Amino acid sequence: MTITTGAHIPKKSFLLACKICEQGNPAVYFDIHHSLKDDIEKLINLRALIADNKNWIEDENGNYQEVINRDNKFGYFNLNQQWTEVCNNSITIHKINFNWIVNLISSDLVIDKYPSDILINDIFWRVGTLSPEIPIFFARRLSHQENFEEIYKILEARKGTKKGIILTTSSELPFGCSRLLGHEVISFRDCLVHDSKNFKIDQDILRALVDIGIKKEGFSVGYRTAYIDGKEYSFSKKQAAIVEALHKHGGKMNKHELLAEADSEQYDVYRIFRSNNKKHPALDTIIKNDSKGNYWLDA
Amino acid sequence: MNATKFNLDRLLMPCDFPTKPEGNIKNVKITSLRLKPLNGECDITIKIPDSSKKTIHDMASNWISFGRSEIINVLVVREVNILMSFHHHNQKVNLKIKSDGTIKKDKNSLMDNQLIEEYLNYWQLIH
Repeated sequence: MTITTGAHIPKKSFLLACKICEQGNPAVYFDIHHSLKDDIEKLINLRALIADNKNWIEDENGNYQEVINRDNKFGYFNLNQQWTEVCNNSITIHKINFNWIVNLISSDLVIDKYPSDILINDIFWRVGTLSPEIPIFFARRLSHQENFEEIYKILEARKGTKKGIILTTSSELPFGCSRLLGHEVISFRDCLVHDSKNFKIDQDILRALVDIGIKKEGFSVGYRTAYIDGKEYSFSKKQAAIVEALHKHGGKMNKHELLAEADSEQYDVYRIFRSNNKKHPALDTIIKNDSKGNYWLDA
Repeated sequence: MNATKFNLDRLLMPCDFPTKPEGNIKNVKITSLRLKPLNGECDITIKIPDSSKKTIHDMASNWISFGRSEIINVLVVREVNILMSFHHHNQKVNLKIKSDGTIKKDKNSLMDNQLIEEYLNYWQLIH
């Protein structure tokens, strides 16, 4: 299936898809309302809606009639037992293609290419991971108690999962349920880019929810933490002393000067940035060296 | 009388029906609302007696929360009955308006079509 990027999906059409999604039977009848026809047609063309047949029709008096297939023609017997033929369009209903929504989220957020997981059939999906390490989920009908409870159980069983974001087509969340076991819940309505007529998830909003990404680049006051190029680093007291010295100096510093700053008895700086045979992630990424004993900060 | 497009969905929320003095109208209220979800799989009809002192939204609010966006978002108004009462001779006119653009009024009603259309426009029920 070709995925249409969000740039080509009118926001209005997508929000209609959300409404359709929130019904128990997530479908729409093409002639349901004249004001919706354009958006429905758009969603059909995008393969967001898949055609299906229904076995009933509403007659001109507003009564429901059972549709019968007679010699490959569809119709019903009215109250006078007269056969009334109906066109295919009038018995066609269009159901939401959940994969379309999941794939749309994935392509819009440019998240990892592993297939999504269905966690609860037709209700809850693990879409992927948004950089740096934000799990992204999609849920529908979240405002329904039974779904909320089932999703709660699934998340509870997934111990060790990092704090993530649950995107939902529900426009209203149960009171006090903006967070579910540490995962932030947000309606699509509240996280689409405001100044755009097309579908586009505002990643700043998502990152702000989990407190990532809008952090200012730089170092904490005591240099115990650094946030550089979207990555967070933590330092011990001695490591922080070295980072501070390098930062304030602005250029290369000899290892002996740095070791003095850290008041360390180690014979080389890299030893201060190693623990249990593991190299600190900042070493050779933001803390560079020339193998001649000189170190500098590349941040 | 047919109109090309009706804007009945605003009737999902309580709304006023202002009238003009020259219309001699005493009261206007909705006595019946037929709703349908987007998937078209059922009808939800709410009816109140003509003599009810409460609005249809007030009466139905015990069972349907019109204020919840999840209700409004997935329901469309297919048909509405509007009862107009006049000061003159206690006359009443019942209008049955469908979203497909058809309007039916009582057979013996003296209210002319032009006046009806004027009021429907005034109440923003016609596109």
